[in-house]
Amino acid sequence: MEKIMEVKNLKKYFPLKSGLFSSQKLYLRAVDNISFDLYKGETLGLVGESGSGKSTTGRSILRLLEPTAGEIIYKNKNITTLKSSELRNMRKNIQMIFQDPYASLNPRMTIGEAIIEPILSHGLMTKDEAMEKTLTLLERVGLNKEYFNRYPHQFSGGQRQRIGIARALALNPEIIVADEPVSALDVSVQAQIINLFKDLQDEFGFTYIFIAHDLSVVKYLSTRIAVMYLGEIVEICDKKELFDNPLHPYTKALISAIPTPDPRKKGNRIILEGDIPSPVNPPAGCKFSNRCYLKKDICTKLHPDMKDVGGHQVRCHLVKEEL
Amino acid sequence: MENESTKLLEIRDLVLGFNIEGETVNVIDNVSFSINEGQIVGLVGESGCGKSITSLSVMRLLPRNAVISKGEILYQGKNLLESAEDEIIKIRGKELGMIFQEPMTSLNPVYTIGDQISEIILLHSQVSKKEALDMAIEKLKLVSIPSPEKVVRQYPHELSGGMRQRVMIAMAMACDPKVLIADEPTTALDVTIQAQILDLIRDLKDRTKSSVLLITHDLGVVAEMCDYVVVMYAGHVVEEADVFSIFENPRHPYTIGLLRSLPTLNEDRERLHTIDGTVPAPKDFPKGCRFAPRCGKATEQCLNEVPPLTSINGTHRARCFSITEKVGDA
Repeated sequence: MEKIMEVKNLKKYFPLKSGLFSSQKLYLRAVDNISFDLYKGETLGLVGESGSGKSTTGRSILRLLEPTAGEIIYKNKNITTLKSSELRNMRKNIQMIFQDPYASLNPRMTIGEAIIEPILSHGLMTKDEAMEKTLTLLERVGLNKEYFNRYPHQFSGGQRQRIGIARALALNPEIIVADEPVSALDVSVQAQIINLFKDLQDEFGFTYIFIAHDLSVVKYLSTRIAVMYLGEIVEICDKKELFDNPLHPYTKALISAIPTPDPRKKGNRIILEGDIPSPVNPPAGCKFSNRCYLKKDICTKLHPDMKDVGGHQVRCHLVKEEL
Repeated sequence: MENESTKLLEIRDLVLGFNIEGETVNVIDNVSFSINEGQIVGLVGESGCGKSITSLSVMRLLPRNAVISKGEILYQGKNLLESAEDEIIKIRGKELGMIFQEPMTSLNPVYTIGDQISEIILLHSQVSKKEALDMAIEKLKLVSIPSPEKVVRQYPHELSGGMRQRVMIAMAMACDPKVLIADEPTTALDVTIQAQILDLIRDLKDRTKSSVLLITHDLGVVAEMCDYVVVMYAGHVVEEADVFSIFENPRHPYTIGLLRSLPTLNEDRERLHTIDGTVPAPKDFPKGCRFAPRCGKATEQCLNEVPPLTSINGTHRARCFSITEKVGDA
């Protein structure tokens, strides 16, 4: 498979105000040294709970947030060092879809204007061609052409997310980063949007980075899945492998915590104790150690490295590496 | 089977609307269901189906422009809709406890956790402030809050989301209510924290022998928690049954569609089943079956007449013309 993007040792630290008399500078380590490859045409699911750094990772890739350190290689160029003109060009190829399309659409712009704007601003087409393209896009995402002159508040949540998708498609991107695109939607509408994501990928061959907290949604769409916890990837592998053979204790707990719509499968959950620690002050050693139900001495002392077990990567002391 | 005496809370033929610019738009139409002692009843549906407003009407916490034009809410045989405000105050918090989705907006940011829990205890029982605070600490222990002596002196912003929800539950349970109404109690929480809170609610229910009305949109949570399920769509109860019948033998096309549109962990399907269209707004509720415009099997009759809730088996009922009543089963 062709590698389309490579993320190497990406870090994003947010400085915090330190106390008046404290000389120590505090950082919130939202993304702490993560690396992964992205292959053409795949969907990489990024899962994790609040504070895991999944959204920060997505935003850093588009440089909506400036990474603190690390490289993001796309088309033999390091995105983190691009100048603004090159960056503009890069963003044509990498687009983002947000959780709340209402917050990301300008309330004073008709949806037609919102979709046509990026096409015209990149000077890709004449006005007539852009108009034509916008109407095709509206139809493609399942909206009526006549909606061109309507405003965002006239649409339901599901329709707004369709508008967000049409806007992301306007520049024919290669990669689409979707940050929790269905979590604000009702179940019956969520299914419509998930299917739309799948159809568009089949039709245009997009590569997706799909960020979500809901494992069942991620499972449905992804080719590979990366599980994040407190700014780190703790496990990454093929979707099927992750669900059939989860290795990290956190992944196991996460999978078992999802309530399944089957009343005969009640109970038997791994219930983790305590809360997710603050990313300002993560536990020493393995970051999951304070909540881990399998923890050994070494876990609180030494930070585990990423191990490769037959293409299945996991960051845990208790997993034996393949020889 | 069920008999009258085990019904703790019963909602009968509730019709509720909002007064908007002089016109009343009904959002709840003839909703009836009941909760038995020791039962967890799930009230399920998507946004706008009326599930939250139903629960608020039980607590008499409705907005000013809400109008109840018909129906009864019976708690231990007493109609709460006819009770005077001072009687309601005695029942609310003491007999019926409620927890909300977002604990941060339901806790008062300028009072300590201890003050807020003891306030309810002081309101409902004759104890000193000191005793009330001790009882508050006991309640925090009940919901497994670590170092409760410290937490009673803290403010809501000092706690995490999961801890705040535990505090909310401790507050709701402060006077040992017989019914706990939980409106989307875990929707704002992470999955691993959700598992903790669900476990806690179930455990508390068993220990205090109370009943729970759980309002949620998450069918996974329903399967996990509930004994009995009421499915709502656009202000109507469209199906109700014990939890096994709902998941294994759903009969209303909406329930069937909803279950089939869920992405699950256990199977690999190429496409998800979808329900076309969206939930209508209350002023646009169709005149016949409210699901008819989105239903693949809708007939002329469905578009023009409201189907009755038809009995299928025991307490299993669904509001659909495709169901023909079996004789001798109900």
